[in-house]
Amino acid sequence: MKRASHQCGRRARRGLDRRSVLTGLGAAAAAAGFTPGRASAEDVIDRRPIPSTGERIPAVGMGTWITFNVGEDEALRRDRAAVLQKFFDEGGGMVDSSPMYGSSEDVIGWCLERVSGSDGLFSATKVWTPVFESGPEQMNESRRLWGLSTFDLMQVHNLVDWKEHLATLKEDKAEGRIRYLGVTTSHGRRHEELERVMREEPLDFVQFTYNILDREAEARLLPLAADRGIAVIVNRPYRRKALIRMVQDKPLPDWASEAGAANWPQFLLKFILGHPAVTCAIPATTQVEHMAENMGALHGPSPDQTLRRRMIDYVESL
Amino acid sequence: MFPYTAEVLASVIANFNHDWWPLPAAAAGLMLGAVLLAVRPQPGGGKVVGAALAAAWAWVAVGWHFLTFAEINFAAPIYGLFFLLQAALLLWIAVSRGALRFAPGIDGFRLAGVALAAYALFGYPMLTAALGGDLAAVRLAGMAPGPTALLTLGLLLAASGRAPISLAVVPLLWCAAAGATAWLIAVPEDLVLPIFGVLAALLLALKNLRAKHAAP
Repeated sequence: MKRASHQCGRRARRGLDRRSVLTGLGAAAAAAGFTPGRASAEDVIDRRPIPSTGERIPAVGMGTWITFNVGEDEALRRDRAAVLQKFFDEGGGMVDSSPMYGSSEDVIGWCLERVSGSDGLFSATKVWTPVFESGPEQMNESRRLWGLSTFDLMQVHNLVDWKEHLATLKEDKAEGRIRYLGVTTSHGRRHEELERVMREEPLDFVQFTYNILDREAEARLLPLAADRGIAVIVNRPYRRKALIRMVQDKPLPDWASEAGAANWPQFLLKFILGHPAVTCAIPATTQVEHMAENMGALHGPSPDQTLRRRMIDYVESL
Repeated sequence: MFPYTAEVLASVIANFNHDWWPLPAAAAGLMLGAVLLAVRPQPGGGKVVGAALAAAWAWVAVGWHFLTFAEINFAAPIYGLFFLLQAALLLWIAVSRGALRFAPGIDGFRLAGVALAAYALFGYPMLTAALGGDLAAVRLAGMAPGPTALLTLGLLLAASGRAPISLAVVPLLWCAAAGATAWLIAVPEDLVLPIFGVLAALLLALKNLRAKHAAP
């Protein structure tokens, strides 16, 4: 992540320097068998490698669909800044947004100017061009809104005009305007086309929906991502709020701690993170306490295949 | 799936009303004048009403959809184009062709039309107040799309003879779209839109059918 020099040059240079330092430290720590993070060695944050480079990012990120689209309302913006602050305090990295999300990118930029600890930001947004807009202009606008000169990850949103946009993203990556490129879909749509893109294009990341009840991705997309060395971002981990609403009044099973879960959000996230092909899940929230619950999934064990099956059976029995 | 919540929508409406004050009062006054012209018809009043409605639809397109709502909803510019289309239709059909006319006299359609227009003017804001909503975020005819659509449908019902039905298409489409949004993100004020929209469509169809049979 680089802060835009025209807005906060000092911070841009500091961020770049810190990244360089962290990269060096990370390499040294990895060589020593230690996963870098904010927590102590006894409570290591779950960081997962991006297959194309080996760079590790926290396995729980933050989505911004609806939640950060608060317009100009300053009180709501301050609330979201508190959520983002908690995210960084708990070791979060990836913040994912899109021009499609209304004022979300503007609000993220506003919040980034007001929170501390954002040096760990892994900035991820998308190119999504409705009628009359061009991709490069839209991506420049995203950089302006976030206050960044480069994005860590730029994705083609919902595969819209993906051939045209991927060509641009490859150029942007070669010229250093983005570090990684990818494509996204959601709600289980267009998986066949997504699979074709994954097979044919040199993607760093792919993003799609996967959760304890929507497991279509297990059949082909997740194995293909592992096979092709593509990092996986999981959206809609709670089916927006539906899964939380479904389980929140039900008892958490006694054995949830075996999966590293102390509450329902962590139970649902740990199920996702238990899949070895998953790199990062991106739940969204407007509440600081919910963010704390989400980020708790960065700690503790992840469930193995047997335990994941048990988790499915339990949720499906509710 | 909509990219915003009812809370954020109310906040954006409140800011819109605040930022453009005293235009909300002027717009509501203009719409009240249009209703009064329909209730007490004057020569050429139909054209004046058409021009006032066209101005309202054009302003809602630009001020609300393009400049304000687009900030939180990527679909707003598309809505705005439909609102501009409605403004153009009003100018063409009601102002240029003079196809929107009002005449003295009372019948059921006229009463229903005036009642619908009065609801758009006064009922909409009162409903927000009754529901305990933010009074700064009241939807005003001439500023917000919902009451502007209902007021237009009401004035079409209050018109004499056959109402130009093509002027009802965009308002009815808005009633459907805004009603669906209201259902999905829980905006109680806008839940009335599809109900009144269906009622207005039925009454307009019946009114035009009777006018057709009554024609010499």
